[in-house]
Amino acid sequence: MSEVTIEDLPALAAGAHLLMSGAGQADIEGVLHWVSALLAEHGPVPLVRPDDVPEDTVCAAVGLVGSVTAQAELPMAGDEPERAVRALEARLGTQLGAVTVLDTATVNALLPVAAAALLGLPLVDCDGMGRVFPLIHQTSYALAGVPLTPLAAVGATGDTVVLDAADERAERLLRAAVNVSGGWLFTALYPTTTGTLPRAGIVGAVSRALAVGRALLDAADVDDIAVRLAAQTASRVLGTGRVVDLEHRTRPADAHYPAHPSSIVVRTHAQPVRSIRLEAQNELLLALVDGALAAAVPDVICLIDPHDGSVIDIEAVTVGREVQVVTVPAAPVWHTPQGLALVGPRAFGFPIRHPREGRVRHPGEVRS
Amino acid sequence: MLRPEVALRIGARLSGRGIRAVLADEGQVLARSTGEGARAPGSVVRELSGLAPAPVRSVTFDISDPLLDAARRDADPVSVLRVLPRPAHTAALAGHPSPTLRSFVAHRAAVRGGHDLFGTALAPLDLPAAVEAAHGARELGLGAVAVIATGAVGAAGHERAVAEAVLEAVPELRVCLSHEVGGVGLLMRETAAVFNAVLLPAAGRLVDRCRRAAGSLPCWFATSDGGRVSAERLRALPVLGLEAKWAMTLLGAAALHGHHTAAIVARSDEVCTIGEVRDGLPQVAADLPGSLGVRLAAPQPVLTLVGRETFAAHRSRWLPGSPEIPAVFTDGDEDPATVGAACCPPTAWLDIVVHADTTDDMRRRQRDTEERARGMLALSGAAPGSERIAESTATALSYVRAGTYRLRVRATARAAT
Repeated sequence: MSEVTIEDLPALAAGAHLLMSGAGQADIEGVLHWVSALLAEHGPVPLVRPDDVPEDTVCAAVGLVGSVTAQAELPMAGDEPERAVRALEARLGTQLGAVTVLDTATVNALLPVAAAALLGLPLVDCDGMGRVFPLIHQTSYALAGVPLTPLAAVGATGDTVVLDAADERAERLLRAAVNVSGGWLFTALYPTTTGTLPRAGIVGAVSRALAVGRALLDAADVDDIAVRLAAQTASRVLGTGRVVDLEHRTRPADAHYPAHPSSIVVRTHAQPVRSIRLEAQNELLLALVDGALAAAVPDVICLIDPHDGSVIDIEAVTVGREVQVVTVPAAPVWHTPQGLALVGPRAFGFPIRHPREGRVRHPGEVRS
Repeated sequence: MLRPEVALRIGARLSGRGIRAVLADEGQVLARSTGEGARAPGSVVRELSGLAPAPVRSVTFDISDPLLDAARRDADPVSVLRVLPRPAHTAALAGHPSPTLRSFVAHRAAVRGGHDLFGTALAPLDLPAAVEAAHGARELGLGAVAVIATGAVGAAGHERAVAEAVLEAVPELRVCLSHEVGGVGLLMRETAAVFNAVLLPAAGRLVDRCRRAAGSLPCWFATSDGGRVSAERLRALPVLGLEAKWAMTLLGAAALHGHHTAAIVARSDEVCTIGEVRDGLPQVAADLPGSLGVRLAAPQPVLTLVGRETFAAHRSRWLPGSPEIPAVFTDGDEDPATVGAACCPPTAWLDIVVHADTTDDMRRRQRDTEERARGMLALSGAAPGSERIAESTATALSYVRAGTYRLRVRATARAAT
């Protein structure tokens, strides 16, 4: 057992930023300030492995569902985690003995720490994504058969939603509630027991985000970041260059996903000059180097500023901006056939196979 | 030798009690002057005007240094009024994360109201509570209140309604609204609105001083996005000029070397400050911490600071050697910021959130925003017909309703003669 301290929070936030795969992280300073104040008041949060607590300990994943940009515009009031968990407990008829994490990306790496501090509960070192995906049923919890509901969600308006539904229905119903609640809801979902987490969760996800964050914060420069990240995560640098094109609505969108697709084209500096095309919808989903698939969801694809080593969000990308394109392998569960069926390229509308599924045939390629 | 279509302008930079100024035709410097003391700006402008071989078209002042001094030294605290559906339950969320920003705020209140990103009201606006908060601020002897409503970037009605009610009830209180600077993110707009409120008195004094110095010449003020605005706009929104020095430095360095696009390396004793100019405008972004260390909604230059030795050892990391982007080095002796002020163009910047159901709808919203930006240029003395869109980006916002875009439009124009 270890703990999350105030001193850990900047590293946790930095690691979570990289694991967002390009999605926005607009108000991390406000959330960081709040969680720091909570830890100053309540002390460090115990960070436990699933087998550190009795296996019948009731737990639920917690996190923000919706847009971090909307959350930056409409900050939390501060009572949402406690209200959401209490509403879920009332629906379950039992109290939680621990909280775990929906995804260790964006503010969702920090908010479970806030929830644990407010509720006086341990935080289980585990999440359901190992990064972020757009839909709440795209989790290892769902893959292992843990029901998504009942769930309870509370927004900045103070409304409380308690939902019982099948996983995909829950996603649609909750998304509708998100859209009328200012763009986000703090949600407690996937109620289960800690005994199920070793097979259903991505154990060690919080520690991994912390390690990634320390690699980013401790590095001397962008070359050092590449070395440290590779050591921690087996990441690869796909290229460094300048954004030369930015297009939106570049392909038909699946109506189940929030946001519209867009594309970013990077021309690399090094010889031979390469064109890296990045396909995005909420997150960066595909990286094609000179037309050849180089990385694909569920692996994390992210952009790093080659000048100062900071992570760049898709929303901050402008034509002319210098970027380094990096890919980080996803948790092993996502490279299984079941994992790729849920969150591989085809789940996002790309008629291609993930590199782990075997050699990819490119459009126009002649079968020999 | 002057160009046939000469466009002589004076660029001046106030710093401490001193002023440095140039008379320039684009990047060609014809004369320089410096002065110190209360009367120096007028003397310097008159001296350079007297040296001009043709009529001087305008004078542009960069007052970022005295604005920063005012913020650091003699700023009066202000009140902050947030408009949200529910007030924060803890002090950490009720306040601002930046200690610097908090040091400017002597009174803070939150009232019900606000909109979501799509322009739908989240709660009815509690105007009586807003007026009560304004009275509270006035009773503390405060002179200005910054009003920040959630969603004001897309629906500013609640901010405007608060301003009207407060000004009617407490007319001696000055009101700064966050949507006037724009940008997405309540905290970043709060920073901009608070800086505006804090700097109102200093900006008023500086603007008056510069206008007197300009005499009969049209008088403009350099902005952090590499452009210029009118005296009245800077008086109302001084945050726009807070980081002008570096924007003007980048612009001036490029102009002095005859480039419209260049990577600029400004060398001081130990540090290299690196920025970029593209098509005659400095590269800017809207969410950067500026000289005061607080992230700000107003655009400001994208700068990288690196030690001189590190830069020398890894030069290609910052200057990739692209043939389209030549490198320009400046050591400060040329005082490029004054040259930048002399040649900075009228600019406009819009950073908003829109919703569009179809690609055509989104393009139409983007075109409308571009037209709005072109229209804003007229207020900064743009030559009719010379307006152009320098940057227009639509980015799909993640994890919200499909069709929600952040539009960022940057427009510029030739200065009218």
